[in-house]
Amino acid sequence: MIHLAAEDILFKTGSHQAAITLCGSCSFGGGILTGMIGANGAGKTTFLKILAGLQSPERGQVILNDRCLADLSPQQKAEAIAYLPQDRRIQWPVKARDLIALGRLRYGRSLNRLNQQDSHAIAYAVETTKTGDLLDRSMDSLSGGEQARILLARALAVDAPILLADEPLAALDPGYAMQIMEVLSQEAQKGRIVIVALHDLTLAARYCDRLLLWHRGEIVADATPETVLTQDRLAHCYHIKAISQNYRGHFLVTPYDRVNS
Amino acid sequence: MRFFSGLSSFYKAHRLLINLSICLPPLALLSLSIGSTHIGVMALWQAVTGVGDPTAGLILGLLRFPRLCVGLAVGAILGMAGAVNQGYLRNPLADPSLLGTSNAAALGAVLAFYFGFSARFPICLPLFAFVGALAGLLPLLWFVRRHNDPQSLILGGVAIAAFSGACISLALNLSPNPFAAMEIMTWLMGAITDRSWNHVLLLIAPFFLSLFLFRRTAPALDALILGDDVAASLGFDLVRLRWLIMAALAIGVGGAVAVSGAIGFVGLIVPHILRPFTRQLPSELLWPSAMGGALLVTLADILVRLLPTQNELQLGVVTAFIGVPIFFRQAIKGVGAMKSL
Repeated sequence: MIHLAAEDILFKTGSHQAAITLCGSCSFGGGILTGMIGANGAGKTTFLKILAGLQSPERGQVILNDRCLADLSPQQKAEAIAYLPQDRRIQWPVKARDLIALGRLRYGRSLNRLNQQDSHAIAYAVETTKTGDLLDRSMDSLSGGEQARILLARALAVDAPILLADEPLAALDPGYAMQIMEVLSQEAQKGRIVIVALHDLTLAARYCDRLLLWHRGEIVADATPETVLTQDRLAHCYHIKAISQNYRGHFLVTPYDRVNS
Repeated sequence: MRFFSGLSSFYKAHRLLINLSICLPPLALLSLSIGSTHIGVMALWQAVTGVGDPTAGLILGLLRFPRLCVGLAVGAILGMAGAVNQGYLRNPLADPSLLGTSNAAALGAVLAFYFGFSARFPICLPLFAFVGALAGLLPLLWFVRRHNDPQSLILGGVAIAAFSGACISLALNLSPNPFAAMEIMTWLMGAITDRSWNHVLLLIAPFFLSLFLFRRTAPALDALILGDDVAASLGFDLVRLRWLIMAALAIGVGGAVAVSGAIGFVGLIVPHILRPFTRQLPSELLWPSAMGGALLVTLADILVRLLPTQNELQLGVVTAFIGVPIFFRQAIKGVGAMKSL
């Protein structure tokens, strides 16, 4: 069973990045879809980057299966962790199939040398994201929602036991957003660690098994959506009021007003 | 379903390289036969086998062959350097001069002219250019330790290019006599006229070394399509990549400028022209750009000899005149490709 934990993390403000402080340990196991919520600049992206090993904290460490993440080789890290960044810019108008195949790149290997295992991983990613009919289109001819699915397929093609996604729903319409949440949820059910940073509280409450609420660089709540998304916390962290209800077994949160402070 | 049509695209990528390679022999023959003394194909054959006119043999052996070799090598280096730079900086306007390498190398050469070293020891000219290219990259290395992203690298490179340019202007300004200034100006325009086998020898190491190093960057350039963070998450060491590219640039472009002066537009235009014929992956563009650069420089060098001008045109002038219209057309047509700038 895969296990990832962050311990006593301290990260001071970098350029474009929030400072974060994490006292104690925050651990993640497979089979659970974890959502990270919190206002802009609360530390979600920074924490994801630290978990992915892309940023080194000033203090503390990330533990992956009893080994310190910083001690792993880039290759080992790449095999364990897939990272889907918030930034969706793609430089060249490559075809969707080539972009997905980039998930199979490893140091020194080129796209022309993909093997059977690679093509299975790519086929799985395409099937899961239902992007089969987009493969021959060039990325700049796709809509935002289609691009987001292709980029998710790229991250799935890595076939890593850990998937870290930073706001994969930004600027997507509800249909696409729910489709992506469904894919992430399925991947978690297959035993992967899936951690996703989200802004949409309704979707976070509806799909995630566990929520981490960030506020000013600290985790202020870590539990099921029902426990985390209380009126008090929403007022405190987001300055909003929201309706919470259960509808056909789904926990729903709908913001309706701002709290005047 | 075949998701990565590996085989067919492999052929597609190589078809471009093969098509370009087919153009090479006729162009090379043309380059050998055209000049102030015309040497026909028969005479060429006789000279090579050693039975024909000894004068033609001398012209070929001492002038035309080295000139052809220098042109091919310089073109290949500049073409591939351009393709790598465009991929690495994720900028379709990048070329080997963008990081200041060309200008810094030119400054080195100008210093050799200015202090008269080149007149006394001809080998000083390429050596100084080489050292100039390396010296130009040193402040850049210091600079990127603080700001590790392509945009900062470009800004640092532009600063170095501007500084080198200012120093060249200063040298011209303070030049003791108009002839020295003229000599520098002419050299700066770039040419491969009257290059000897010594120049070819000088180019061998930079040619093979820089192409080898550039080639090693290919998978990383593909990964960078998705940005630094994804490339790093896929296990690519971006610090190592930066060192690799800068070393290859200094060696390759330094060597090219040392032998031929500043031949502009090759590294910018060749990847541009060839990109639509690839799958748009930076890695696919490297070898075709090397071949395309070699062809373009050879073609320009033929034009230099064909155009009936009073003074022989300098190669850099011709490549600029070929490059600008193509570039302009691309700019109008490909606003889409440029919008991400």
